[in-house]
Amino acid sequence: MSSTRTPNLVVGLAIILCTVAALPAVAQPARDAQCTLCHGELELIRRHTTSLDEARALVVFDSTLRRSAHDSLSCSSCHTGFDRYPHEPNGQPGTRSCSACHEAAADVYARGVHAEASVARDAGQPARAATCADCHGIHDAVPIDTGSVDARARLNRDCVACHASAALPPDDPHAGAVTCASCHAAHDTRRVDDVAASVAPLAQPATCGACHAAAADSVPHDVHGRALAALDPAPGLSRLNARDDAPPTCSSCHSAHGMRAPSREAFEQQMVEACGTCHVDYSSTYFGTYHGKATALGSEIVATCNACHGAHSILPADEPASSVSDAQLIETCGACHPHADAHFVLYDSHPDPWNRERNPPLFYSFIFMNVLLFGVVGVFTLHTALWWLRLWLDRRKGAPAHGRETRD
Amino acid sequence: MAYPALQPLDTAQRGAGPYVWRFTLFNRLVHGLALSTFYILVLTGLPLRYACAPFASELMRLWGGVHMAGIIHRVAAVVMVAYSLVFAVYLIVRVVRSPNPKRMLWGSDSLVPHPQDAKDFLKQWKWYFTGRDRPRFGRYGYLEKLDFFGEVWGLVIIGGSGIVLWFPELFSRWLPGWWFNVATVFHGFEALIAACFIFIVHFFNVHLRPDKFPLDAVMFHGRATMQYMEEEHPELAEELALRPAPSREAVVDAPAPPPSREAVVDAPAPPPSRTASIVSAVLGFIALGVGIMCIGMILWAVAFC
Repeated sequence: MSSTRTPNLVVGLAIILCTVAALPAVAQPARDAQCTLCHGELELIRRHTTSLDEARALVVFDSTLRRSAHDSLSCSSCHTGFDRYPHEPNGQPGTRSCSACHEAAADVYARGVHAEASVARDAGQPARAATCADCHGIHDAVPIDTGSVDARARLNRDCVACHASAALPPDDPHAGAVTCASCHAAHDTRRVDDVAASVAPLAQPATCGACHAAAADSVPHDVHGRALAALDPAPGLSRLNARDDAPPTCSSCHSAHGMRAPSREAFEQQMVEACGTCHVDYSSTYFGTYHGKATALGSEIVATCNACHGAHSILPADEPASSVSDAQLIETCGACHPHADAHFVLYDSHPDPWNRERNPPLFYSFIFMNVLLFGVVGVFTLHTALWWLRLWLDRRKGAPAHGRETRD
Repeated sequence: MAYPALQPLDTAQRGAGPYVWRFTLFNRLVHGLALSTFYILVLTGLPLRYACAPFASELMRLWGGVHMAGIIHRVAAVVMVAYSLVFAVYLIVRVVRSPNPKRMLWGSDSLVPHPQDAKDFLKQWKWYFTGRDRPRFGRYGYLEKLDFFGEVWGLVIIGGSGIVLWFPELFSRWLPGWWFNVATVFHGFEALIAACFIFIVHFFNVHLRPDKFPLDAVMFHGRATMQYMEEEHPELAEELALRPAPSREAVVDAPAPPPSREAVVDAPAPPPSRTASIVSAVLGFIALGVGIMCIGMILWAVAFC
């Protein structure tokens, strides 16, 4: 078998090699030689222009085109109406739009915020908008490469050129890992408050889930995902996060630009604040406990919200699958308190001393200690104040300070 | 000038007359331990209870973080329980060895509350309003007894709840978990009561009231003048005057018998040396200052949280 296969392999390899070697000849650019005659020579063009910058804009080096994805195109593929020399003095230089070939991309782009801005700009309004060329380049356009940190940094540089404040800080876990377009969509880029934006609250599970599949998959089953699904989409969806009853989506907890890695303690600290913005009562009762107070003072080992309730699979305590259900509480508390038992977990992690129904012993001991505190402080403050007043009155009357003589 | 220069600051050295020993060295060492552990416990516990106070984070940082503060809090608590137990044994030995144990348990030397204390308490209020008939105290007035039993009560409540909160996994064998909620309330409130009581009752009665202001260093150098005794503890002073000990008149009439260098309660004492006076005044003012700072922080925290 192997003796018959070897010649076949050699022949096959030879054919492939010849084809590859012949490719440049086959794909020889059909660039019009006349164009490069002038537009390939900077010094020549400079003589016909008023400034060096203008000249530079009119020069296209062959080497640039060779490296680009459009190497196989002729100049006239895009630049129409230049078939004479000298060019028509009053003729509008016809530049074919990219959409002539890239129809699908152009259609999507037309729906996005950059197209909207470019229309406004064309209508004479002071708007800046990224066009195809702003991101892809013109004569040096190459296929999008997201394969390396450097390549992603190059792509992001185009966006940051206008959106400077959106640049990710170096300690953001996404910095260098994704491109702007990973989240904001490349052509269908929309405002954050646009309902249809890829980063709109309702779209976040899908957008973020493209990479974070495990988190996104569990979200629909937990309380926040359910609330999201049950949300009446009619009013104010575009400003979902501004609604009081809006359930959180990815960015509500993780933020967006400048986020912290969830593995870091600082993130858990940030989450205690974030959860508290909606769960006000649970937040205030948490901060009444040792867990809450130590966390507020910078402890990184005591229980935070996530430690007990989880992150993407939060469930109400009355569901057996919940990490804080009666069935699982021993295990949940046991993560930090190894000897936790059924007795131990009767601790009230969100104690409200004013709530008699919830925790009667706490309520009564709180009332008792308050009565004791105000009783002791009240009686003895009066005791002290009147004592001071008595001595002051005696002193004013000139009576001896210690009242010794009055006894005699 | 016959009196040390610090005499005007230290009300225990007021007036003329010989000195008597009021507190033994052991008494004073225990008091020193009591006040230093108390302040450490307050200053490590307060920022946790009032974690929302503006000073809390900074104070915790000074202690080396909330967990280091917790360790210091527990060490101070163990020291406090230890000297309290030692002092309890000392009291028992004192009673047993006393030639008159009954007098130690129920009499003018006793710390045990008497019906007379209730009468004195009412008399004190009457004096506030009438200006007549100020109560006359013996060795321990009702305020000293309150100081002592306030600490005993505080130690039981705060220490008991504290040890439950220290070892929750252990105590949950016997106590349902909601006891930790209750223990937290008892611990925090009783600590607040203790701190307020120290300021309102102890500081005012001992140091700050106008007839003692600004400092009573008797607990630091251990002795007081007879005038002090006659004014602050008249019943005891009368008794001492009957004993074959120097009274003010004796100083005038005849040379006093040699005072005891060793601190023996009620024995004649030499006047405190200049060094002893200075050290006592400095320690006393530091302790008083820290205490006033503590109460200021409590008020600040209560106003803020």
